[in-house]
Amino acid sequence: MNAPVKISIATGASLALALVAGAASADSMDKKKGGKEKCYGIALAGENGCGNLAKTHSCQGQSTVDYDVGEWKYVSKGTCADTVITDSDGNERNGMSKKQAKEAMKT
Amino acid sequence: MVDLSKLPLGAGLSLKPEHYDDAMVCSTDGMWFEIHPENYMVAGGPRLAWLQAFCNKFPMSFHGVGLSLGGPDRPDKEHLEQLKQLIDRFSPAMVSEHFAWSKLDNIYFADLLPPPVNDASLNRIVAHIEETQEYLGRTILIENPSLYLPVPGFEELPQIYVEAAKRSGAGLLFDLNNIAVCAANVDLSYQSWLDVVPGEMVAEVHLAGASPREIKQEVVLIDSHDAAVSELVWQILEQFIGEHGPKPVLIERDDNIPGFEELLIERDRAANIMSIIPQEITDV
Amino acid sequence: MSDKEEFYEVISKSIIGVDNSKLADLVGDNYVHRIEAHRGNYRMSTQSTIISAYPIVARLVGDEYISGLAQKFVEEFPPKVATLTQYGDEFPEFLRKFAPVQKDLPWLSAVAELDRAWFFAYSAKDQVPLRVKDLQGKAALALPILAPCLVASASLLRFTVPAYSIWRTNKQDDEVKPVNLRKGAQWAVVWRKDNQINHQSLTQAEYVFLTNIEGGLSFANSYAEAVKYDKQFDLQRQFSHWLSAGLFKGDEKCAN
Repeated sequence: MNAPVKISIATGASLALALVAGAASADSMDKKKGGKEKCYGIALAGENGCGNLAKTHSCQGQSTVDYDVGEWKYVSKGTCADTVITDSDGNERNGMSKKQAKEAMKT
Repeated sequence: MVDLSKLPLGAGLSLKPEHYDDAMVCSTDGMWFEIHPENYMVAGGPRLAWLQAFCNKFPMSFHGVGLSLGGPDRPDKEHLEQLKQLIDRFSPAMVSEHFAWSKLDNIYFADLLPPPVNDASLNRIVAHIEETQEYLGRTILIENPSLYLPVPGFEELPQIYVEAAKRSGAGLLFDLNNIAVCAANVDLSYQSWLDVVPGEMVAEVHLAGASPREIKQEVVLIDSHDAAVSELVWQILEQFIGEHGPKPVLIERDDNIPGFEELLIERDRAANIMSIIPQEITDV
Repeated sequence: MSDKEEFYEVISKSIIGVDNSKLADLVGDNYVHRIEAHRGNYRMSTQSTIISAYPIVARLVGDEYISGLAQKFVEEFPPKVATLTQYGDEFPEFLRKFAPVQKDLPWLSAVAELDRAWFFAYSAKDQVPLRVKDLQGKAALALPILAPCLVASASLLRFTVPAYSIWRTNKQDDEVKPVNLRKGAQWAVVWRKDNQINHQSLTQAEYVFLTNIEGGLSFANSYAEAVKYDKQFDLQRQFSHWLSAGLFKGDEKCAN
């Protein structure tokens, strides 16, 4: 693509002005914030450990029978009750509502 | 001989992200921490920033779980390289791995499985430890595994564990919970380990809690690291320290993690056991 | 017969559940069931890695469903390397192709992409971003020709569904807001500055602008591309925010 070459001087100048203005306003934002970010978020995903996990079966995958090769039998029932998702037919399919999830998700 | 001087001859704790804030301001005398390097094999970000902060303040031990030294294949080159980069960057006081395997044909089992107990296996493990030490440019410690399955020849496991360290020049990380777990699950008493493991080769000791779990009407003791250290394991520690003098002793906790204060109480118990042992009984 | 065939493969196949038949020869009939200690550990470790790496997906579908998804995923994509921090990249793609999800929750894979982008930003390389002072003192006309790239932690995402709205409200709102699927396509960017992870929705033109920056084009060229999608494209609307929040890479030249 060769758009850059074709960019008019006027466009180049106004873009430059926009960038400079942006930089100036970013500068003031930086100053307003002041101080360093203290926030050290932690993610617990992907933790290796050297202990065996002895938990009993809160989770379906932990059944002591051999692999479940049958049909997919789970129904989504979210833990957060409130995200109402309206589908394209205008129906409220509430995947996340504990009360409605089961029926909505089966359809 | 492994340099024992770099970790304090006192008690430390495994460091969990849940405890970063509390651990960082911990002022207990002689405190040190242990991490699994696998959890820090990331390009950047908060995890490594925390590790840097801890390494600046405390003696640290890097306790690997993923090299699969007891496996049929040579240590994974990429894993070794990532480990080396971490070690070069942070210069931990101690580096250790396991006398166990965790990988086969491109599947990682997230576990520490017992290796075969025979001469061919011994030769392989020695070669893998040597290759690792050469690549890292330093001596490592190897930790004895837990047993749930009575693999063929398991009665000789303590002997080949010690022999592998002797032949490769590695030191021993002696896990006293694992020997209690073995004793509960197979016909291998903890005393049979204590009789064979030379105290002077032990550069670090691990303590942890185990949990019983019922499998097909049989109770198996799982090395779960999700509970307080058992009285039996404390008793084994007293016996071991009584014979060999103070060692760097670590309380491991990987699951069902309590508040930092609760772990400190266990840590202090270990420190107390060592403080009442006359200092002249040391192998070092 | 070698250790590999007689020992390692026997245990390995028993753990992943494909074949238990030779385990008795190794450990004796009375102990075969003990493999469950290792099998349970394998399943729990791998599945809990997926569940914790995709927290918003897990929250949206609930404990049982996410466990089932994680189990299916682990069967299809067992971990290849010993660093679990790197495990689970294929999960969004798995969700996209997995028939029950495709049928009932067609937007779930897009939400998973956002979870992954967050985790990617969290653990990406530390980089010095382009700072305001790097631009100060430059001739105004020298600015448009800068081609700084985006920082390594940045992910640009586009969705045919309002996935960002679903993800965002579940990530940070005290009270989860309703989302209308008819809202249609969305674009978003996720990145990290120091230890702070930033994310925001983008207009299509902003997405095009940033995609071209990421591809190594200059501000001017990227702007020209964005204008093709939106004649009214207002770079000014976001530029100062992106700059102060460290979205552009510090080196003036893109490394690509």
